[in-house]
Amino acid sequence: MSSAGHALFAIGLAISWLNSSLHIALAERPVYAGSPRMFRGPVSRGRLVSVLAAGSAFFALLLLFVLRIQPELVAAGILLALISIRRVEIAQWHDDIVVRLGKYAPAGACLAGWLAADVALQLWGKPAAEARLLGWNASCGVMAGAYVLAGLVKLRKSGLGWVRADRQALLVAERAFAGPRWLRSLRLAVVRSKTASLGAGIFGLGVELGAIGLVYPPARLPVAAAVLALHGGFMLLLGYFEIEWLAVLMAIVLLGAPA
Amino acid sequence: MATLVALAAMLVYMAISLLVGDRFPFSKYSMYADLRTRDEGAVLYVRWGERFVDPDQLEAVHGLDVAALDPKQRPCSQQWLVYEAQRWLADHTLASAPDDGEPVEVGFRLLRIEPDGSLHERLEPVTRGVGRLRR
Repeated sequence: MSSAGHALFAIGLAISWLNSSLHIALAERPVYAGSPRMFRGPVSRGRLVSVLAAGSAFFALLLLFVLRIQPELVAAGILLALISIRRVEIAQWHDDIVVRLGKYAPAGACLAGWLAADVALQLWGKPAAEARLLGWNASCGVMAGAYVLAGLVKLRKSGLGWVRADRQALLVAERAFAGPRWLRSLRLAVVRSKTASLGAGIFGLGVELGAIGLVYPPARLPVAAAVLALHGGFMLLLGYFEIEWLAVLMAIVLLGAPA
Repeated sequence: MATLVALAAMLVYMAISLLVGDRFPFSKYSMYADLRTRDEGAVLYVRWGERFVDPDQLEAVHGLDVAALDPKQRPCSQQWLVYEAQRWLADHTLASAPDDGEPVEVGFRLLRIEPDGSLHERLEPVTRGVGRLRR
C-alpha cells in the first residue's frame, strides 16, 4: 500500500512539474487549448535545455522520494523546486494571469501538509516512523480543506443559487463548441436538460462540501470515490483533465490508511 | 490521532489560504464561485473565410486588433484560451497581408440560457483582418 501510495504521489508531483514545464517550454503556443498542434514546429533551444536540465534534477528528487531516502529533506527540495518553476511560469505571462486564473497545485499543497505535520509531530516527541505515517493524514486534511474551501467560497459568493440549472447550463454551454462531436452533443444535451444541469450543480457542490469526510479514515474510500466521480464530470462537461488531483487523492488515501 | 491530525491540517490550511490567498501552496479555490451576475457567457471564435477554426490553425494574420479581444471586459469563463489566442495571433501578425490570405474575423460567441431552458447564441465580431492557414 505504502509503495503504491508513494509511487502515485510521485506521479502527482511529476504531473505538477510537467504541467509547468510544458507551459514554459511552449510558452508562445496554446498549451491550455490542448491541441496536438502545440508540439508542431521548432522550440527555443535555450528554454528546452533549461527545462530538461531542471527536470532531470527534479526527477532525481522524485526517485529519492519514492525510495524514501531522507524524506523530509527531499520533500523540502521538491517544494522548493515546485515554487521555483511556478515563479518562472508566472513570469511567462503579463500581470498575474497564472495565479488569477486558478493554477492550483494539489500535489504541492499535500506535500507541504505532510512535511509540516511530520516535522511538528517529531518535534513533539513522536518517533520518526509514526510521525511520517501520521503526516499523510495531514495531507488528507489539506485535500479536504481544498475542496471544502472551494464549496464554501461558492456559497459565500453565490449562495445556494450557485447550483441553479441555468447557471450550470451556461458553464457547460461555453464548452460545447470544442471537442469531438459526441462530446459536444453530450454537453448540449446537459445544457438543454434542467434536471441534468441542476443535478450537476447539486452533486458538484455537495461533493466539495462532503469532502470534509477525508479527515475521517473510515470515510475516505467512499468520499474519494465521490470526488473521482466529480472529476469525471469535470472532464466530460467542462473539459478539465485534472489528473494531478486524481493521482494525489488516490495516493494519500493509500498512504493515510492505518498500517 | 489520525483524524485529529487530518482535522487540524484541514483547519490550518483553510485558515492560511483565506489569509494569504493564492500563494503556492495555498489558494482560495475561487474559480467559478461567483455565478450571480453571469447571465451571458462569452466564447472566443475565429472565422477564416466561412469556416470556424482554432487560433493556432492560422499561420499568419494581418490587420487584427488583438488587444481588443481582452477577456476581462466580457463574461468569459475560459480566459486562458483567449490569452493564448491573443499571444498566438500577435506573434503571427505580419506587416502586410499574407499571400493567399482569406478574410479572418475574431470575436465572441455570446451565449444565454433562456427561461425555457433553451440556448440562445449570437456572434459579436470584435476585429477583422486577413489570414492564411497552416499547411
